[in-house]
Amino acid sequence: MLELFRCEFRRYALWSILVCVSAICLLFFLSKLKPLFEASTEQSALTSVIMFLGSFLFGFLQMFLHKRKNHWTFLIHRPLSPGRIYLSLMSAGAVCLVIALFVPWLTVTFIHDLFTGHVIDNRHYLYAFFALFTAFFAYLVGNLTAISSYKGSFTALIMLYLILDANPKTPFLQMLPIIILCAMFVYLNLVSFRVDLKKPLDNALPIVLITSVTSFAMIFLLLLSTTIFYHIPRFIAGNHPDNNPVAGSYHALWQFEQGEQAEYVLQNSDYGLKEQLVDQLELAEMEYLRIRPWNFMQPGQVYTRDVQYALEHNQTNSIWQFSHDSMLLEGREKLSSEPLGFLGKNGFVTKAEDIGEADRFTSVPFLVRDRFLVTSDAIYELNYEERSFLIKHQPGAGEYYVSGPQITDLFVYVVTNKQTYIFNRSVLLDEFQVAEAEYVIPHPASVYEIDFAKAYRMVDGYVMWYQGRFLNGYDQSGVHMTYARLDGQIEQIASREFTQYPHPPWIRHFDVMISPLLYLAQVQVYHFLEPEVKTSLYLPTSQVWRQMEKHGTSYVAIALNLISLFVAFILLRRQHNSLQVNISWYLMIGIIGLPALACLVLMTPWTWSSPLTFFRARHA
Amino acid sequence: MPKTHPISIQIVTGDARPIFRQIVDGIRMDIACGNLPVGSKLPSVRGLALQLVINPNTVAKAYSELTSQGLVESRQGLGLFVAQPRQLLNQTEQDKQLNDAIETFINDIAYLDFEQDQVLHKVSQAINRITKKQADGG
Amino acid sequence: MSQFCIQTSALTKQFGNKLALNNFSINLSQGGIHAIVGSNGAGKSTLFRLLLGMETPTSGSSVILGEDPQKMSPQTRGLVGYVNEEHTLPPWMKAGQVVQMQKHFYPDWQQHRYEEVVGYFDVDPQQKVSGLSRGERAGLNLAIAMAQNPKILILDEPTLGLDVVSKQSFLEALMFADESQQVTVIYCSHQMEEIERVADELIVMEQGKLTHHSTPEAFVDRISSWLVDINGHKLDADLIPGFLVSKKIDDQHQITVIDHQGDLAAMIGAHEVQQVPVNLEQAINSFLSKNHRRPAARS
Repeated sequence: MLELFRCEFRRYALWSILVCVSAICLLFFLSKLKPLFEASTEQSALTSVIMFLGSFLFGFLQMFLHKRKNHWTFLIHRPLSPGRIYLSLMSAGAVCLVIALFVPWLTVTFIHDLFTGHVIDNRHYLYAFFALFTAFFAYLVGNLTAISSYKGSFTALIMLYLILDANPKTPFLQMLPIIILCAMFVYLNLVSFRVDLKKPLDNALPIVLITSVTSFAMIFLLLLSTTIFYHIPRFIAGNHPDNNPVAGSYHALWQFEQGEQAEYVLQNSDYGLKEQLVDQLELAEMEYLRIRPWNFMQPGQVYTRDVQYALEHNQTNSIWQFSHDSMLLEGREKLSSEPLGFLGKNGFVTKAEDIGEADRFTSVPFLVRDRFLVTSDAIYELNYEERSFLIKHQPGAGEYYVSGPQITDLFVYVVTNKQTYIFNRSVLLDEFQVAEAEYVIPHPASVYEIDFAKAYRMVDGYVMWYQGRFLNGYDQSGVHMTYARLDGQIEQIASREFTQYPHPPWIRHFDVMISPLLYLAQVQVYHFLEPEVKTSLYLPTSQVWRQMEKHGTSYVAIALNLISLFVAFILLRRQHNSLQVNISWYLMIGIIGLPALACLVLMTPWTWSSPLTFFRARHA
Repeated sequence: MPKTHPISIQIVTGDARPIFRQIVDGIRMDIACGNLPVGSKLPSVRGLALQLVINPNTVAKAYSELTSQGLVESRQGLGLFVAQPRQLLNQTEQDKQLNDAIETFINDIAYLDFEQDQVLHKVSQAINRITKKQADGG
Repeated sequence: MSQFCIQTSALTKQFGNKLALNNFSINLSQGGIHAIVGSNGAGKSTLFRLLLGMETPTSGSSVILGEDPQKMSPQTRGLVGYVNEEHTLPPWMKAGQVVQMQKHFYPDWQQHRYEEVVGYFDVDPQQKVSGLSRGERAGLNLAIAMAQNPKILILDEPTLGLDVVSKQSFLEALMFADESQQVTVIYCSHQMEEIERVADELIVMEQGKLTHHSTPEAFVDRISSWLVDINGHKLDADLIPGFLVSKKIDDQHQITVIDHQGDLAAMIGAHEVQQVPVNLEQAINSFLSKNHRRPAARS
């Protein structure tokens, strides 16, 4: 085994060392341009793409080169079990990834830690591991794509999107899914790496694993397919709703001007002064509110998810950077990198030994302007000259900010999960004292179901506009309008539901319809990874299902599942699989439905010779 | 240990005769012409196979053919040697072979411009040469 | 274990609509060099791949050294050597490194045999495999395969593209490095003079079927060729049982038949018939061309 590992490693050693050296050079060059560990979408997107694509291609190429007929015989025809042969090759590949990706990150992080004033936390080191595991996963998928007869193997890459998109609460949860995935794919590759590569999988477990993983991708592909069989034909026919808005539908709002929109929503309202209001709204100053919940930063999260890098205060020439290890802001002199002390929940601390547990933040703050710290439950203001610290605002019990304060020329808007606070700009920004909100306006619906909120500034207060595709529940769009007056009186002036839909229900409910249980499972996984975030995706299942029943799509979903089972029956009847293989397929398709059927089709060897034998298995 | 007598036969691939037949014929001719006197040692199977770059099994087959024809004999542990000529065919077989040979011969010379006497003379000369060589070798 | 080291029974392999191997049944006894000949695409490589377990048969079964190739144990795999026409070895490794690596896998590694075989070729162990000549690579490959002390050695057109000298070295090494003569060699080649020199047994494959299996001599004995004069009449091949191929030479026909019986002259009304000798190459060519010339030929 070791010999084969050595042989394979020799093949790529030089290349991985070259990549390693050039990556180190590149990273140092980048760190001269900007702080290397400052999260930047471009940088992390680019590194991710290069890393994953590179690892995937490397994994694919490595196995592809071995798969060529005579090379395959040379490799596999030796007194060593295929499993051990694969492990030798895979370890060689893994070592190459460590050299090419892990070593550069670790080196650069370590050097930053030792020789610069930048705050380097454990999470920065953890990122090297996280990157390594994600790249290793891409590599394993590349391996599988080359060796497996399953044509959908590569779609497992979609897992990377889910992993990178999720914002888990702890570093453990950050690492857990990708480690599980890697273990799963090592297993899948081991069972797929067989002397006769064309032999289909004949065990239940690998079939269940690969189907569950790639079914997510199949959902995505099936969703894309609606473009081909629904949207494009309707565009060609010239009656696509995007070009021909359906009157009375939520989507039709978009074609209206500001005033017309208000008129449209107010149509059925009892409000007395509709016409005047429409005229006023047409002229009123309007502000879109940041009502979509932000992902608040989690302690120990990977640095690429950071929102800010550091607080820079120009008057004092200081830089304050939040350390997730100490849960404090650590200050340094801008030019000399001289340490300037710490800043905790209770204010400035000069010496490290004076820091108490109470000083440490419990959540990671946003840094706003050059002197505001915003955690989900308080806005703090700093005074650098006096080195003092003030809690500027705190929401009520059970309330938390969903986004950072939105500062306009005259007003500052702060949105919590329950209500909107509107401050006078000068109160919040200019005075070093506790800020009192001018208006406090409760949300008419759950903040997670509101897609947009707009604030119209009127002479005597605000007209708030809330709209959402799922405002009144799953697939029940709506708009609410609230009048908040200076005297504190709040009046709901309109609530419009949209009963007309531009698309038929089977398009609107497509994602749930093709696999209700997978939809549910996905929701549960997200809940597990980020329990706090509840966007409109996470509506109660019972509610979703009720709405689907109303439109009949629940029956379509059941029918689709039954049809999938029937098609699976036809496909499987022609193959000579073992009982456990057939049972696992029926189970998977029974549970997951159409996406699992897509997996089965992609796993069935096709023969193109004649239409009749289209799906006949090559292996009798 | 008796010294091996070299064999100078050539084999030709692509010949209508299989290789083992070529070896048998070659060695027979060498023995007949006296190039391989009685009692001389033949190369080992492996040795001759190496010399001719052929499968040793083929040489072994040729040698066993020669042995069964009585042209060579094996001495336990020493190898193969050219045997004292003795007749292994019975009278009928000998008659048949002689007749076959004469028929071929007559076919070949039928259209040549020789008198019968001249032909007979040459034939008896050739026969004398062989018997003399065999006598010398023996 | 049975006396046969390889047995196949009704082995069939279908790729799409093409039958690469069709009801192929053969028993190969231990020892000796078994030469397989056949046109390109006759199914030789498919047979090897099935015997090595790289493919799964559509139907039928095979046994190699007492095991099902699809479930061959690593130990048995170690007893089957394989050399292909590309002489695949990791090109990024030095010759010596490849040998060091392979040595580790085979507990019964015969270093002296390796050295003997490699001695026929001039392989520098410090040279990278990619830098070796074709002949050296073939030699290295054969040396490694033979040093593994295999019971069966499968050679798939091993001398393809080799120059005369390397070819000769290859054959010498193959025939003489194994002093025990216990290795069963399966040798597939298009080079008739090689087969003539090395083959103990001749196996002829056509379109996935086994069409002949005997010694080369017995095969040549089955084929006979005749020069016939039929007075300018058209030759009716259907009248001749076992007809393989005919060639017009001036106003005569040379007819090659298999398992000739009866009076040829009477069959086709020729006034003069003369037998001409046939060598192995001609015999095999005539035998194989039967199906090319006459696709509808009777069996």
